[in-house]
Formats: sequence, C-alpha cells, structure tokens
Amino acid sequence: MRCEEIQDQLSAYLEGELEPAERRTIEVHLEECVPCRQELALLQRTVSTLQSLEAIEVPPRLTGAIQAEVRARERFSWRRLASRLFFPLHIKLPLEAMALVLVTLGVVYVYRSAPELAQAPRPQAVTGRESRDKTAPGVGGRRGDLAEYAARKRSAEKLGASSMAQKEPKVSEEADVAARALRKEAPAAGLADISSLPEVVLKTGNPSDAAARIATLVERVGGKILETPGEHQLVLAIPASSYPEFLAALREVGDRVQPPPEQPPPGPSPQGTVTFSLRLIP
Amino acid sequence: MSNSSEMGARSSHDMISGGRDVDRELVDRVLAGDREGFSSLVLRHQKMILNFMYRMVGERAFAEDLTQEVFLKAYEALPRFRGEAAFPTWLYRIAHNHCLNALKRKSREIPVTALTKDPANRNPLTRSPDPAAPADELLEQRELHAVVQAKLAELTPEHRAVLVLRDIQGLSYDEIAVALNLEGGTVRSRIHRARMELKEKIRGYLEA
Repeated sequence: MRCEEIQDQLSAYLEGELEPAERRTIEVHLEECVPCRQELALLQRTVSTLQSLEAIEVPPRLTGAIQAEVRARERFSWRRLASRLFFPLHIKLPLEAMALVLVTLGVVYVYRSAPELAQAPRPQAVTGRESRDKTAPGVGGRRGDLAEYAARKRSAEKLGASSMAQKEPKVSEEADVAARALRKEAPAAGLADISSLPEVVLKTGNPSDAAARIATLVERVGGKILETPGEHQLVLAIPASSYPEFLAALREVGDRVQPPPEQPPPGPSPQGTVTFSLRLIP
Repeated sequence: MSNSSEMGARSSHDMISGGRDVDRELVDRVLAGDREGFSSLVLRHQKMILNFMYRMVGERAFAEDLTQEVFLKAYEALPRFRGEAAFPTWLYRIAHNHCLNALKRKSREIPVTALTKDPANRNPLTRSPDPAAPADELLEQRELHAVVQAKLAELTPEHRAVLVLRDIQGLSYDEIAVALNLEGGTVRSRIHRARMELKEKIRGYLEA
C-alpha cells in the first residue's frame, strides 16, 4: 500500500474502526515508514489538542435571559396556541372529535328536555317583501306589523327573563363552588416573597454544573423547581416522602454551609412538601 | 487532556447516553403546561449548547446570543419533538441549523476568520498567535489552544461542526449523523477530511 492510501485511513485507525486485517496492514507499514509514523503522531496530537480545549462556563445571566424570554412568549403566541390545540394530531384530533360529539349530544338533550326551548318560535322560510317586513318593521311602516313585532319581542324578552331567572341561582352556585375550589388550589406559600422561605446554602466546586445535577436530582425524586430567582439560586419543592433521599444525594453535590451541618435542614409543611430556597456558592 | 475538558466532553456524552428518560419526562411536563420543566431542560443542556456555539463562532457574546435563540426555538418546536432522537441530539440539530444560518448572515457583515484575527478581540482563546514569538511560548498549551480555535474558524462550517461534535463535545458517529442529518459514511469521511485539514493548518505549531 502506498503512503497516501495509508494516511487516508489514519483517522479510522485512531478511532479503532478498522477491520483486524486492515489494522495489521497499517501497523506493518507504520513499522517501516517514518513519514507515515510522523503523520500519525501529528494527527494524534491534533485530536488530543481538540479534546483538551477547556469548556467555557455558562454566565448566570444567560439562564435568566432564556427563562425571561420563555415567560414572555408563554403569555401569548398564536403558534403555541395552535400547537396546544392540535399537536400531537394522532392524540388530540380523536379527543376533539369525541368532545364535539358529546357536546352535540348534550345540546340535543338539553333542547329536548327544556320545554321553553322546544316551544320557541322556529325560523320559517319566508321570501321577499314578507321577510323584510318582519325583520325590519320600520321600513314597511304598516301599523299592524309593527304592533305584532313589538308584541313578539316583549313575549320573547319575558320568556328569556323567566328562563334566566330559573337558571341563574344554579349557575351562580356552580361559579361559587369553582371559585372556592380555585382559591383552595392556589399556592398559599406566596412565592412572591422568597425571602420568607428557609434557605439552604451549598458550597460546591462548580455552581453551574451543580445546578444541572440538582435539576436532574429534583426530577428524579418527583420534586419541582418553582423559581430560579437569582445567580445560582433555585426555589425547590420536594415531596416529604423522598426528602431524605434528596438530602442524601445533595451531600454528593456539595457541602451544606447554611444551616450548619450540626443543625437540622428545613422540615416538611403539613401539606407534605418541603419548600425552600437553595443557593449555590463556589 | 485536562480534567475540565475531559469532564465537559464526558458530561455532554452522558447526557445523550444516560439522560434520555429524564429529558423525555421533562419534555412531557412542559407539553402538559409546566413551564418550569423547561427551566430544568435549559439548566441541563445550556453548557453543552453554549460550548458548541462558542467553538463554532469563536466569539463568546455571539455564542451566548445564539444559545439563547436556540433554546427559544427548541421551546417553540417542543410539541414536534417525537423522541425518535435523544433530546440533546435533537437540540444539537436545532443548534447546528441555527448556527449555519447565523454564520451566513454574519459572513455578509464580517468574515468569521477576520473576527477571530481581530486584535481588538480580547478573548485570549480566540487571539491569533504571533508567528514571530519564540517557539517554546507557542508550545504552551494556552497558546496552542488559541491557535487551534483560530484555525478551526478557517475550516468550512461543515468541517468545523463535525470536529466540534466529535473531538470536543464527544458525540458518537451515530449521534453526529442524527444531529447533522447525514449518512454514517459521510460523517466518517467528513471527520477524516476535517482532521487532516486542521492538522495541516497547525502543523507548523505542532512540529515547532
């Protein structure tokens, strides 16, 4: 084999990707050929120099900027709304079709079970002059039509009012129950005041890497990152049941400075979660 | 190989090989309306994307802007993430496409090579070496890194991308093929040609 052909395979040789026979051919050639050995050494050095380039650290402002942009887009986006409504198609289209059928069935049921709706005047096929007279009484100027229109309108208003009067207490009661449920589910901790939360300070070699590890850890124990308010600071909610596991794993990420190791860490709330602010310092 | 870079390459590789399930769960949470799930995805992968961008464009502030844009694009595209590729590989694909477009736009303003040779650029890692400097100084690792970064910028973006993904970020050939939407054979031959080209460009510094 010529040197040129050998050198074309040096990269694959370095990666250990050659068949044993091809590898042997190269090695035999390299034993005899000084220039090819030098080329291999240069290639090795090129690769090892690339591998030794140091990784740059993520500035805290970048994380915050990404999160702020996401929040801004979250407020409203037609594309996102469309995505939420229709994607993935194979799941959401059948669900939406089913919901449409159910709503239609519901409307038919309500219509049949409510006598006032069944008695409501149905639109009739009317033509030309007759139609204009009925829909726009002022145009025709005939007193009889005008009186009939006014009477029908009063009747319809009365019917509507009575129907509303019957339904209103129920609607209002449902709204009240929903509002109470929402109030109950709303976060009571008040994340707006992070300073009121217990704080844990962790001393770690590399806060950026530690933040990434903690994000994975939180996910693993079924917890949540509620906020990332500042430079290497996370507000976490950890289920009480997996809290001991979380604390044990946290010791592998760094050393607890605050509260001091001899003092106990923050305890769970009556709701069964531990909510606290975790600050990472180098 | 220095410890920090070893960790950087290995961590990005682990994210692809070992972090698949966590990423999938986080994606599902975001799609279900939990925005904080996306914050976790950002924390897990921002360093990987920032370093990819930095080696591709050679300028830190520009790389940070591009990283931010990549995550916003990923956020918008998340409903279309099918999980056929690992999340980091999918993210690399978005990053690569976005980077190529940004470089095209930038090349209409200032060539990347001119940027990295600009003496006003104070970043030591992108500063071009002085050929008249003593050989022993050039051999210092920091200087060699600066040379390599400057010479990387002279490669085509296609060659630069495979070297960054393979030799700096530590992806496998298969992962690169998915991230760059290429055949496996094309990845192999492109990596070989890119390494040979870079080797020729830094030959003088390596032999000195």
